[in-house]
Amino acid sequence: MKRAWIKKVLSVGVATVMCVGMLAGCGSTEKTESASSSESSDAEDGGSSDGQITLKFVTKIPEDNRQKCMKEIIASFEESHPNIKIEQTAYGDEEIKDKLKVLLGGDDKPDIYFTWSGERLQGYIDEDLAVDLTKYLDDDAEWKDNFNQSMLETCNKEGSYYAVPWDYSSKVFFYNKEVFDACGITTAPTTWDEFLADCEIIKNAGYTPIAIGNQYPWVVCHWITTLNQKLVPADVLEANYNGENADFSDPGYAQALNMLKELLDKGYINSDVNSCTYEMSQSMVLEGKAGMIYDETQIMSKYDENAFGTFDFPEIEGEAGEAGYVTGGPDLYCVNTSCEYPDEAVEFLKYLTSVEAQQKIVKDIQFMPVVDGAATEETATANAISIINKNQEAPGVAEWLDCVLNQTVANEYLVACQEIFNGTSAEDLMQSISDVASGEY
Amino acid sequence: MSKQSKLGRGIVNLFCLLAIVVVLFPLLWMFSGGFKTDTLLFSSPWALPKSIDFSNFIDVWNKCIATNVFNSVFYTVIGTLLTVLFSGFAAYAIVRFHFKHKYVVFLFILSGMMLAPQCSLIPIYKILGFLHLYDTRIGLILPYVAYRIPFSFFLMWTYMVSLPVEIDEAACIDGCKIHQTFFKIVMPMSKPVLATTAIMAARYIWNDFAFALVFTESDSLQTIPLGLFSLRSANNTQWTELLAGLAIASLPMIIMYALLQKYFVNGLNSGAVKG
Amino acid sequence: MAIYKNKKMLFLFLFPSMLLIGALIFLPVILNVYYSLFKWTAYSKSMKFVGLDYYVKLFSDKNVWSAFRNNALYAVISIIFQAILGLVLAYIINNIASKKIAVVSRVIIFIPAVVSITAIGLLWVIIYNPSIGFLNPILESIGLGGVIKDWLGDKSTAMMAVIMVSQWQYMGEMVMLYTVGLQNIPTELFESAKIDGANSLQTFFRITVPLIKETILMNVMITIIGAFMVFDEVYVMTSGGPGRSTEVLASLLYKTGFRQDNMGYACAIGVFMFVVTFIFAIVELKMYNVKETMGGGKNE
Repeated sequence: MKRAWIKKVLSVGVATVMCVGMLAGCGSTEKTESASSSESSDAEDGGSSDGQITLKFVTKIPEDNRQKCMKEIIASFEESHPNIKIEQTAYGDEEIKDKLKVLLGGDDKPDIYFTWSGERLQGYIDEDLAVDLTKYLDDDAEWKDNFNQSMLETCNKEGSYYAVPWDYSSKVFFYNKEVFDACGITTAPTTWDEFLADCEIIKNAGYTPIAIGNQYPWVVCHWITTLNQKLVPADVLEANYNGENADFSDPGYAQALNMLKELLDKGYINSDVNSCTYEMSQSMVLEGKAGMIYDETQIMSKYDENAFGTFDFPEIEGEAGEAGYVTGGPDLYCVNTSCEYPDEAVEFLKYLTSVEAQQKIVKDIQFMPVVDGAATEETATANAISIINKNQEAPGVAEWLDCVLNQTVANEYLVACQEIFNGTSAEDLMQSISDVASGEY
Repeated sequence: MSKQSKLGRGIVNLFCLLAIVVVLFPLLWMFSGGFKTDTLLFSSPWALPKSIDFSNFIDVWNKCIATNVFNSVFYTVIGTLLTVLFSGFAAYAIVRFHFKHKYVVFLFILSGMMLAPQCSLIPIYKILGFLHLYDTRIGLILPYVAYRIPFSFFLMWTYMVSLPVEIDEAACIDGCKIHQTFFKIVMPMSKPVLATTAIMAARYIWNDFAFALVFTESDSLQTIPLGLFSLRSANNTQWTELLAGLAIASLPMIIMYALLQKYFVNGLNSGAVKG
Repeated sequence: MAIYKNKKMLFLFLFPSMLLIGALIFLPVILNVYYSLFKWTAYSKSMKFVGLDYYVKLFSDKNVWSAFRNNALYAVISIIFQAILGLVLAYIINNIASKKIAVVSRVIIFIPAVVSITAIGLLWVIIYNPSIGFLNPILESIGLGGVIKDWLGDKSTAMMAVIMVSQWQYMGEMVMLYTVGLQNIPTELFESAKIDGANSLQTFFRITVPLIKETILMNVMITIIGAFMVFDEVYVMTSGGPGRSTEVLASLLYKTGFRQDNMGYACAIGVFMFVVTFIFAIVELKMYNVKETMGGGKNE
């Protein structure tokens, strides 16, 4: 009986092999239904059939609520443009750092794709993967002018625009009102000394003053972005970041790292900072175990306004850098040079950045818009509007450090963001960064 | 038995029980974790679940595990079948065919065992891209089969070598073609080693992470290990949901092991004594 | 024993295996060398020839050598726990423990080895976590509160923490592997040793070890090669962090190629890994007279 079973299995096996062989000949993409709802469906082969144009769209917003919002935006675009179909694929924040490059180099190239600004965008421009959108912007002055100009400028490389911003995120401190009340803190700190004093009070009351989940080091890297901008003179910063100067010896850099170390040493940060995840650090504040977190406006919806307040990064006495800058960065979308229908792709970009769509993202998912007229009383809370206005008026933007720097140097900096808590001296870390930079530039 | 050896035996028994606890405890904790809520987990790792609540399991199943299970099963079944088939062919060829340079071929296939896949991730990625097989089912299965063949071939060869040649000869005389002899006589006779080979290959493919990570892109092609990993790195990770996912992912292999222990052990044994 | 001479059938039988092994096991090795001579990324449209630049860089790159040291540490610990302690454990389970407990122990200790390393790795990430895992609470309750650390977040303990997870997982497999070797030793030998008055320790060193020498060597080799190729555990648990404390060659390769966009250098690292493990593999092959075994000489 077992013999017959084996025979049967083998013959089924051979038959399956033949079927699989035939399936394999059918081309490179599988058209199975994706069971998950938060990630969207496979992209079909791009191109047109009977005038129908399909555009492959890669985004960075797999979360349920964000997907819902994006899908609604896409649906309304498709309604008004019946000959265009948008196939969206969403990847998570960490994932997309690897996946997008592979996609761009493979067979299944996206037509419109997400990118951060800075060096990340530059990398794609260098490989001729982003369409020059300057003439589209020049042809439609209304569209161009409605943008938040400093955000639009992040897409400008050597005089031409290679992407458009879609939303932006800036950093702000969120604090748990209950914890502050329990500690007797009535006003949010505005200077670094006040900040440290508040931390001491919170610590003595038995809470963790600041929650940092640095398992993926971009979290501390954002702190450093802010601190570097405040502590290093603007021209030195510029020269180091764009590669003119590989020597990161300005004392401001080391001071930035040391300030963080000081926070840990004094017990103001959770001790498992390097293994704590970003989500856990958020939970700590949400559940009232920690008092403050330096988080992004993009995630504002998590911190209910009634229970959580916000304040800006405290001013540091004697800071050498420019005052009043906001730390943040836009999310950009590029059109791939391999896209067969760039005009239609730009149509979609125009829709994404239209007042209508921008109002929707402000209202539904509390994103920060990049166009004027999107944040109104109907769409945003008073607090959100005040943040948006403040950002609008800020003299400049300190873009995410790991986007602005050359990727290899950025990587070394990210390592430093964890190493500083491991006991390595700030001076040594900056030296390593300088070494790597001089190898790259 | 002397008192001393009784004591020795007692100590060792205790030690074994300790080893069992060290092994089982984390696994049981994992299973129980799936029934908890995140707040409960945060409050104390020892807290027993308040109730038998399957919601985590259902959530994680719907979120991604369902597709992942289908994919893992698909790759494992097809990959195992192909591995067993191709290795069987090769083993039989070495054992029953006359040809020059037999030693070279033998060495060629066997030395595949020495080359681990991790250092070849990038070239294979390029090869698959070149063949337009990147991010396809077949594109992932082929490397699995390729890297499983050497050891499977070895298992089958050691077995087939001891099969009496008279049976094949008798079949020949009776007018059987070679492939008929292979499928109708040799394969059925090799039942034990086929099962062992299949189990060894299946275990490897089911548990693989690196290949699936590098050679597939689309969500619809992801395997269970990949699904677990992206569950963890996604925003809004619920830890208890992740534990539920881990439990679901581990269960099939544990059950298979429980039922088919003998074949797992056989596979390892062949590696130990003959390998 | 060989009876057929039909060339066509021979070809059909050998072709699939030879093709797959040639194209996906051997060819990549050659391609690794070729690709390491160019500068390119996953999405670049052309490759720029750089010759041996990456190899020069490799030898002076402190990251490569610290990864190598991590692999070496992995190898040493794995040899101690798996090849050596695995044998000791197999021996005492097989020879000293009572039968029922022995069987149950073996079966259960093996369970982690059948589960995917991803699942095991993620499970231990949770267990090691100071806030929600149970490891630190257990340590506290048995009075070892002073040792508590952030196991995976602290540079000094992270690598060992990852390595120990591998040991936890694979000890059972080693015990199984050794058990069959042990069971092949005729019991008469043990009995006559006992009559001669030998105790367990002497029996172990004078009888057991010499007789399963080949198995031991084999396991040591497998362990070493595995230690230099390790990827899954590290990537899943720590991605090489914190800092670079758990970076191993394979994870460095992956990140260099896919994160830092330096495919050429990643391939050079791949070649380096290959050479290291190849040397070990050659040594193993030499210890094994392959030609003799191929002919199907010995009876099993």
